[in-house]
Amino acid sequence: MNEFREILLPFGKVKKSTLAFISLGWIIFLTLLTTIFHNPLLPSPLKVFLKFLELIQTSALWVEFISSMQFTFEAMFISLIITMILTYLSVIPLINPIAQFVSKCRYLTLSGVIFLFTVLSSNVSGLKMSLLLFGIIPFFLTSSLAMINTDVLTGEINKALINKKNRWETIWEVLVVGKLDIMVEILRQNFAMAWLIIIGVEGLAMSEGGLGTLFIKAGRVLAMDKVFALLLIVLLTGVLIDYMLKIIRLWSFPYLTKN
Amino acid sequence: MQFLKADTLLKVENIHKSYDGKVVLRDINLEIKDIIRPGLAQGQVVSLVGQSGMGKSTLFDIMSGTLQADSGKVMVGKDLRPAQIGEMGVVFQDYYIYPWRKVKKILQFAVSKNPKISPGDQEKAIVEIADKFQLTDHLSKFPSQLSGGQKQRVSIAEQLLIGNDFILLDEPFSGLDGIMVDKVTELLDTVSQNDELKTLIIISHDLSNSLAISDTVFILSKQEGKPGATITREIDLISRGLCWQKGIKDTSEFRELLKEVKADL
Repeated sequence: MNEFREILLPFGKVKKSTLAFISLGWIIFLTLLTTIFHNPLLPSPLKVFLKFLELIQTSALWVEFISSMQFTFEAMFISLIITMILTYLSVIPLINPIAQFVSKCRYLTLSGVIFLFTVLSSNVSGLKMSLLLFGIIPFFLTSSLAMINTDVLTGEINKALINKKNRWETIWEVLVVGKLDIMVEILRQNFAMAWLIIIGVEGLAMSEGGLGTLFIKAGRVLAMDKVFALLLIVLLTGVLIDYMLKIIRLWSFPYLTKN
Repeated sequence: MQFLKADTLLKVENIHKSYDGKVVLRDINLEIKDIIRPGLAQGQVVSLVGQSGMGKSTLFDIMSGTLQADSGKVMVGKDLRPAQIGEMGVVFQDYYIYPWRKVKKILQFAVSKNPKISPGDQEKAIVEIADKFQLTDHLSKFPSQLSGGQKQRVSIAEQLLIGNDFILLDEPFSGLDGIMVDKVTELLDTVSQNDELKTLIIISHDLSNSLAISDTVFILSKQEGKPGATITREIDLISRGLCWQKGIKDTSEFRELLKEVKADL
């Protein structure tokens, strides 16, 4: 009875198993709702699920899936390296305006800069990569720059200087080593953004393949069950990678879990 | 009680600090001298006391070199050279022990910065200090696995290994229970009696505990009609016979001293 009351109260404390039941309940509820009141233009949940099962058994999906994953990881890696360099160097007054400008570039729309990158890129692959980097880095950088402007970090930097570390040693100890776990967390939080952009970018460069091209092709023939099944694949992949990054972070930085 | 006050070790001269036009510190002047006791390596323990919001932390930051004063200077050493950041060790109230480093690594970094300890002797120095500070069993732990008292001991051990003559302690008794406060008091007492030039500067609003281990007290307070806080009084506890005594807190003279200081705050 108490457990039931807790479910309904703000800050209610419930067991993990109860929370899993609540989530399952919502999924069933929403499935029923969309089945009963479904829009005739949209596929029913059952149809989407059947299409999903069919899709994951085709090799065509996996070829495009692997292509998207490979491209995403490549872009994420390059973005992370560029973000880390800009973040660490942003404490140098000469470099700070560059980092701030790149961070502000998040307000520029991707479609607005396509022409620029089309002119600058020598091939489709380069265009895709530059668009993706442009889409990801400003968001990465905004999160990582926010990490630098905290009181805790100021205290840690002062502590390093008081402990006779020179300024470069201080950057290494406090920003690079000390905040690596936060960088991985930023990577995890922004992965969704990267995953979102890549599907869009792949749709712009059809010849390169990827899940984005499957979306375009399915949309052209109004195969909405396939579009929704692809969305489900994209969602599940995102959730799985998010979970994996969380585990990798806790495993790589044991001080986060030691108490 | 035989003693002699010899060379000046630290001098704070005419420090002013304002924030947004509001004067926080005004005409701060203080001097700490080398106390010599025949046959002993007696260091100095100075307390800087004042009410909350009086600018103690601001003065602390200026002395440690992490904050620039509007005017005035802090000078250290027998040659009274301008103090640079890194010349005064600091034990922060919230310790700032890097959570990503194990205790041993923290101490290794510290000892590597001590020019008086050769690389061959660094390991020995860590073992000795860990033993003295009851940290031997905690060397392979991360700071998050330590209690507040243990973190403070790591922080003090770190500063001792770096080897600065001056150590600033910000509210060293805050957040500790009664037993831990006694242990810290004893520890600071021991530290101050190991090196002639070692000078501990305690910034605290805990009068009883900080005065009990000090040889000199500086009172930071406001003067009527004048903006900002300044050093309004210096009390020499040695000449009053209220220094270097075990169980001093139980004496009536000490209780009188507390009343006197409280009245001046």
